[in-house]
Amino acid sequence: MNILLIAQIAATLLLVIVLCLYIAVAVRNIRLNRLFSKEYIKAIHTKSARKLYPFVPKPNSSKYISTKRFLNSVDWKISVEGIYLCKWCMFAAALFILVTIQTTNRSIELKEIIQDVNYKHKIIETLRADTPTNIALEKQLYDLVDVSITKSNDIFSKKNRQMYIEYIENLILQQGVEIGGDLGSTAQRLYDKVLQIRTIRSNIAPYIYIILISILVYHLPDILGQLKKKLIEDKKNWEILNCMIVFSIFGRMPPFSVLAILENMVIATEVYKPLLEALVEGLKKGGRQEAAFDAALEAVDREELYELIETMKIARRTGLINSIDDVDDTITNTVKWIEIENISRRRTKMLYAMTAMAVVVGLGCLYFAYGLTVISNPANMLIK
Amino acid sequence: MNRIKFSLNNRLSLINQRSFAENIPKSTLLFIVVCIISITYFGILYSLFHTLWYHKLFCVISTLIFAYSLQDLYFEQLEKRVKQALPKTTKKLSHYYTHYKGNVIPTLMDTEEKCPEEARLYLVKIRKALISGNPGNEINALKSAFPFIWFRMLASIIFMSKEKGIGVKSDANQTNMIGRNLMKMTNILNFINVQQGYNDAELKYIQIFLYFAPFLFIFASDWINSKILIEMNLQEVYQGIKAQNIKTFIFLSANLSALFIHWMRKQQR
Repeated sequence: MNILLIAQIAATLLLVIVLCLYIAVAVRNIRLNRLFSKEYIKAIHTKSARKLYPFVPKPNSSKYISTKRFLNSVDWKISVEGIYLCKWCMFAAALFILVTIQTTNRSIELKEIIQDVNYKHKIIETLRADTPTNIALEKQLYDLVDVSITKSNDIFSKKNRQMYIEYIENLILQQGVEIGGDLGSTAQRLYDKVLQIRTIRSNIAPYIYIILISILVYHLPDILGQLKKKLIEDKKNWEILNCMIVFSIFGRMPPFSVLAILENMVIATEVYKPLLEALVEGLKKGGRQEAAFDAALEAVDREELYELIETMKIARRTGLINSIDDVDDTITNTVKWIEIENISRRRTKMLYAMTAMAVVVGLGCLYFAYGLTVISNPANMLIK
Repeated sequence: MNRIKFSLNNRLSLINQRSFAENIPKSTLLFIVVCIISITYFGILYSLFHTLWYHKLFCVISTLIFAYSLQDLYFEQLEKRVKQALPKTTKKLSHYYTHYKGNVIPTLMDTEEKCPEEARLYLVKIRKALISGNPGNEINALKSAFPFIWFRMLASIIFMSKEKGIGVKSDANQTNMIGRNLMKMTNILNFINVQQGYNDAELKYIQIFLYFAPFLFIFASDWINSKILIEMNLQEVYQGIKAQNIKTFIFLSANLSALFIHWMRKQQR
């Protein structure tokens, strides 16, 4: 069995397994949807899904917790099991598509070599016509030679070349096939074909690249997540500025309360919305409101927002009016700081964009150069 | 098809605040235009590479990415217009608010006439909510219906001004709190628009370039190399499967790169 077939079967099998798992989970969900409440399904789904996919980390394991934390930090509304299934689906699909492309390309390449009646011909030789009879004869001769020549690696040795060519000549003579041309050049052509086809068939390098690309595709959500984390830093800057402006505007307006300011801050944010919503909920609950502020301060990842929330915490005792002027000054500084930081961030983003563009430009250059490759062996491409 | 049209109409309604029925002609036209451009794009791609199954598959994927980006770029343009109209609106609002000494309804009516068209419907909706029977609930409903945070905040400020009766005291401009806040908002919105415009511009042009770069490379290479090869009495190689493979990967990588830049731009806003 050759590598081509093994790779194709393996890729197809993996895709089928992953798709079956996906369908099994989907069918199970549909069935559960009819029977139980949404909350119960949510709880049971994670467990059932985990049973079905052996590759999902165990709950409460460090990998599971870190994945969950990562998904929360990039604001992706998907479960840990879901992201693993998604990653495996992507891996299997990429592997299947790439292996099938490779199978198609190799089959075409092998067919072209087998059917080429002028394979590696010399410029002084007369070209043979691509008639169906010639092609059929070429295939018949190739099959005959391929079966007869040993599968050992001796064929690849340059020392044995002449020996094999003579062997092929004898083989053709023994079989009594009418080749309609020079026996020596035909034997040489057939030897070159067998050599080339066996080299192609034993070449596993493309499959190694395919596996590497598929692994990259598997990790694509992680890479995009890390990138998103960096990119939303910009959004966070704007949201912090929005929060400061909300404080400055609504702090001067009735009912002059921290809660009213926070409620408007929730409107003005997306990334920090869950944090501010939790704070609002904590304040509305009553009881010890300091605890809600402390919890929010612990969760904040930016110094500027930390100071703003702390200001609100203190303002509940000292009064809002005293704090607003300070916030106004901070806004002026933040605006300048954002302006400067934007310049450096723009450069980083341009670097990402340029990397993507370089790939396209590189392929464009490859395409241009491809037209010139025929000049390296014009004998193959002379207009007949 | 209907589902796509429905989602286009929904998004259009969200941005221009018109009703679903009012937006049907515009969304249908948008759908038809996107379809025609995408089919043309697909046709060009198909004429360039179509021999193998994966050529056809990548043809379809590239066209889908192109169609998605096309409609998204259109909506982005609409959103940008509304965002640019916003500071002009708040400026007018501040002016009329001071002029009418804090009387909100005439302020809104005059601003509606003078503000850019893109922001008009937002103000009309705020005014109608204020004169309705239950302004609190109506304004809250509007806040969830408005796609831009600054319009939500504007609705909050105007509602507070109406409810709490915060007017302009005749003795000192210092007490014109709403007017001052609106001016503050105008300045900050101008700053945000300028800065986000800078952040977006280069990436947006790279994205557009990536959609057209493959055509540039392919047609220029075909033209130049074909001339050279024919002059040298050699066969033209750009119709072969290997050339088609390269073309396929150029288009696929260009579309995926453009999609990646589009995603990057979306993250920063």
